[in-house]
Amino acid sequence: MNLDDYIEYTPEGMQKVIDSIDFLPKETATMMIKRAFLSIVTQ
Amino acid sequence: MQAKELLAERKEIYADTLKMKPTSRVFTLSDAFTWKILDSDLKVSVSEATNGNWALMEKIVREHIERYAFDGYQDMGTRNNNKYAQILGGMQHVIDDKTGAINTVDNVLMNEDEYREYTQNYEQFVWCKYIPRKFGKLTYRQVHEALKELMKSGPFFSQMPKIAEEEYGVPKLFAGYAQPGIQDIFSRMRGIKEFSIDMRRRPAYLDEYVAANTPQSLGAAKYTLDTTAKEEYLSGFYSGWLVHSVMNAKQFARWWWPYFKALTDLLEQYDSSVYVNCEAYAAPFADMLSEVPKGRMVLHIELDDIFALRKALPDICIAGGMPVDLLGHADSKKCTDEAKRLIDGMGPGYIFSQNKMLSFSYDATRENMLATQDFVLNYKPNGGK
Repeated sequence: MNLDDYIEYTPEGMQKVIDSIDFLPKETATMMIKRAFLSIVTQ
Repeated sequence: MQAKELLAERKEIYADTLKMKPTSRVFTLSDAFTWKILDSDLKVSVSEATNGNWALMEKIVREHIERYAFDGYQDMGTRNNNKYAQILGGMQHVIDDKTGAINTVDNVLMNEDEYREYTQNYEQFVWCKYIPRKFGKLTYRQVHEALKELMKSGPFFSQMPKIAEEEYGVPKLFAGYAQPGIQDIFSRMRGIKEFSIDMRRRPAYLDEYVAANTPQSLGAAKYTLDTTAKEEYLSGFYSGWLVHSVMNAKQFARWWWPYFKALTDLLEQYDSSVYVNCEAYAAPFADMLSEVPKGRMVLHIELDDIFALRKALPDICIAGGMPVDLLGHADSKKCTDEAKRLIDGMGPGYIFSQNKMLSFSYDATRENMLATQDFVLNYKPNGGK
């Protein structure tokens, strides 16, 4: 995965984004994407 | 007065006001949002101040607190961060620095036949349908940058209320949000026009959604009550009401009120309360609001006739009423006269605040805000408690 690749809008694509986050522990990255990120994009 | 003493005094006045008891003075609440940026001596634009520069925002909030010394604040500088829009694009907020306006685009990001899908798997719906509709293609880098920006905001969101409390004796207004999901359907998913059509042409979709969402939203409220120390906050919850502005009384009773009726039962059980920021009008729903037990709700109003609402809701604490038309355009004497009329006319159970969010520079002059605040903080209604 290259950082300039496009993310995929599928459930698997969401998991790939979570797996790509190397600056947070896995559990935190999962919470940040599923809660915090989804919250900011829907504002 | 030291911050600790001031904090204790403010909490006591708020608690008594909520219960409609006489107080030594009136609790004052700032409804200043972007106005405090434009009022600041730092002379920065709205877009500069909402650009994720949290050190700058802290200076602006401190300046507002130090200059006006309100007892409480609806906003601590956490709203309208436009940095995400710069990273991701596609956001709905458009800032015009010439006027200081932040406009919201009324997008339709959920189709009429997607209610059930949204309800049954929110996470998947937002990821697979909502995000591509709103942002188009996004790269991993953009998502990473947005997350890093989000992490930068966290310390400010938790520190600013703490600073306000410890250094200025400003109590935290609320512990959590009480917001049924239908508000999001209206403002984020279907948009004003399509939601209004849904209420008339597709009411069964809304019935099904509300039936599924109400227990979830109440469960979230119960969790907040179970996990927070209520003495640390003035009210248990904050609730922003906007969707009701397109509802008639029958629709309000069907899709908005069931959650709040159940919430007030919960608040009674936990001896807690909700601060409602009621945009547009509350009066059309006064029959239902009158069922709320004393001490469980503050109703911060916008367009209502405040004295008529006081008569209709004698047991509900009401906030607001100070016209920005006067604060922005009249002289100070007219402002303090109006403040006195409001405090005397409303009696116990009244929180002094502005009659709409202070947004634009012309919403208030500094001179009028200072004179009015000075008057209200020193005025003893009916000779004091």
